[in-house]
Amino acid sequence: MTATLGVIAISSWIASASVYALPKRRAWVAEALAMLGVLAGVLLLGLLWVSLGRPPMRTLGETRWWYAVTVPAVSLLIGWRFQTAVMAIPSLLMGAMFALINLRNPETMDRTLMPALQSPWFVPHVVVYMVAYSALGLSSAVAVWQWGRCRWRRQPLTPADVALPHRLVLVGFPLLTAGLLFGALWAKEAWGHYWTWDPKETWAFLSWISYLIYLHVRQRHPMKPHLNLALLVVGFAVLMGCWFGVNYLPTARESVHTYTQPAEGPQ
Amino acid sequence: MVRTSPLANAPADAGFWEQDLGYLHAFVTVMMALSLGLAFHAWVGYRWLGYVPPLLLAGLALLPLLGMAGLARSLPNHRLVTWFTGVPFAMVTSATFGMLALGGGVVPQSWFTQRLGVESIWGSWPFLMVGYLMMVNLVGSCGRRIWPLSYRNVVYLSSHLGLAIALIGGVVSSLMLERRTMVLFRGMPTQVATDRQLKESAAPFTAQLREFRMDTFPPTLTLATLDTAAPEGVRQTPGSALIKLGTRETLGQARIEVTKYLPKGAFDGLHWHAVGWPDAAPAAFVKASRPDGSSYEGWVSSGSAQSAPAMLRMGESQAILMNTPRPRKFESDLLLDGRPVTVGVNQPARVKGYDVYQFSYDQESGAASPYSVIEIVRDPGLPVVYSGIFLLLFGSALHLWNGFGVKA
Repeated sequence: MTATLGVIAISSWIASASVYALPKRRAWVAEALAMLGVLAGVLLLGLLWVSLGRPPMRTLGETRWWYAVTVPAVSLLIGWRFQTAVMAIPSLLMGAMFALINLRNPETMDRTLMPALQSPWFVPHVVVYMVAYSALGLSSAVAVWQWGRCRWRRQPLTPADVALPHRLVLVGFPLLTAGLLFGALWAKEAWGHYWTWDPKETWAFLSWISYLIYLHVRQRHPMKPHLNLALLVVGFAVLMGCWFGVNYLPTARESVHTYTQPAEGPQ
Repeated sequence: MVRTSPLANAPADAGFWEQDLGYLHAFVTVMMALSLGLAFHAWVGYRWLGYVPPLLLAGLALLPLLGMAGLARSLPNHRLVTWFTGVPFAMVTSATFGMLALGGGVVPQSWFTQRLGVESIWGSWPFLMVGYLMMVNLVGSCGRRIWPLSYRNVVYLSSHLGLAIALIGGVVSSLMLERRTMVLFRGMPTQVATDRQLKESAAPFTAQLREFRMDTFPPTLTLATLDTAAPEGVRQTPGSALIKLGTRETLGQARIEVTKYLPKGAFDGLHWHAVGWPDAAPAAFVKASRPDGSSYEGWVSSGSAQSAPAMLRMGESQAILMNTPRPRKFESDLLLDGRPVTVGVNQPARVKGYDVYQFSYDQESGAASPYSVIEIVRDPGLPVVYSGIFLLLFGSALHLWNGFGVKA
């Protein structure tokens, strides 16, 4: 069933992106298709939640499903708020790509949830982070999309081209901050220490400070779109490092946040 | 009245520090701080820190920060103050701080301990020096915006001052934090607590373990196949179904059904029996069939500290194994100074200003662990940290509000 819903979501998003790409598009058709994909994704997450008997937010594959759903959802929300469709195609393709990765690499859905994760902080921490990741990932995707479009049309990249990506950071960064702070409050409750420079925490801090630097540079140099774009790309790369790259680093074995590994003791 | 520095917009032939101060000057300053940090590392080391009263240290560190905030308030347009509290300085210090943190995020801490003689990069002089410069900038910038309390300044202060308070609290915490563990055996009251350097001291209260409880998830099954290409010669296909009576699952190409399940079982040499011992192992009677028509049945068990594991062989190259059950919950019933409390993961208790956490247990024995390890933490800086965190959360909410364009 989850695979079927995944296929429906991917098909809807690709169809929606195709309608958006048409020269004479019908916006409501594209939006309806995108919405259908989001609804299929939400249903998929709900079914996963019920079948696993726990929030589907533990493994990399589970959080990838959240990302696949929240990216188009955030795009629709921001698009409606600011009356723009600029980010529609990149967001829909991102959502479809992440969903496709999950369908191609089905995980063994482990139903267990270790004691440390059984906390009221678990759901808000992950959901806030996922929405933040979506807004910030989308900001980089839209910025690169705009840059590619300018290159294609042989036009210079202007500050106006990175205005929407900046708006997405203005939405994503406070949520990233909240996710970081929720994690600290949760860690205090679970382990007695709100911050221990654990590798995962360090990378969360790095992604936060990357966007902090972007925001200050943007505030100081709003007329340098290439610089802003470069910092957005760096920020997203660090974000990906925090999400899953850290699992492959030499420091990973020092982390208590490796929930995808078999449990070997109190966690 | 707008006060301007006589040296602002200095001529081109002005000396380095007389020019308009910007990124390059910030970079040079940060490099000097880094060099000073390295010199301290090589010359002074870290041991002396233990001899200075933490409050004195915190006070000494706080004075220049407050001084900068006062300067920024009284001389907001002085070129040095503007530069010290401005964006270029913030960017260079943050970027350097981030680069040092990146080192700690990539290189294992053991490397820093073995090569540089520091417990971690986070406590090293260069990291502290750059962090301190960042704090000077942050607190100074708050001094500039502390008044008037316009909406813009409130948004600015709630995030920046919140961050500054949380960081200052964090430093105070790290200087004054008391963190010790206590190993409690059932029925034996103790006051002995051990710190991270394994130094024993008396806890301010007596703790006694009344009962240690552990609840586990049902185990899962795995199909193990001999495969010379796989690591250690065995390829494992883990199942996802938590075992219960009637569980059916396909592992690889084998179809499996659980026809009997004992959450706690014991093997008497001939048969498995249900028992009530806390350290008994789960066992399941499994029927398995393969596409070639062969079928197998027998008991599998993950084993425990008291009993050997059992597996179901399927021909020469395959077997069904049971994974060790994962803990669902573990907690300790304690008497803390005679007061009964229960501590578990995500469920600390509080006594005499100390937070008490469930820390560990004998993992070999699992539910039958004869002892429980608790951690006692006293963190006087915590209220400061939490004040900063909640102010920062408030600031984030305001920024989010602005991000949606509700208030430009």
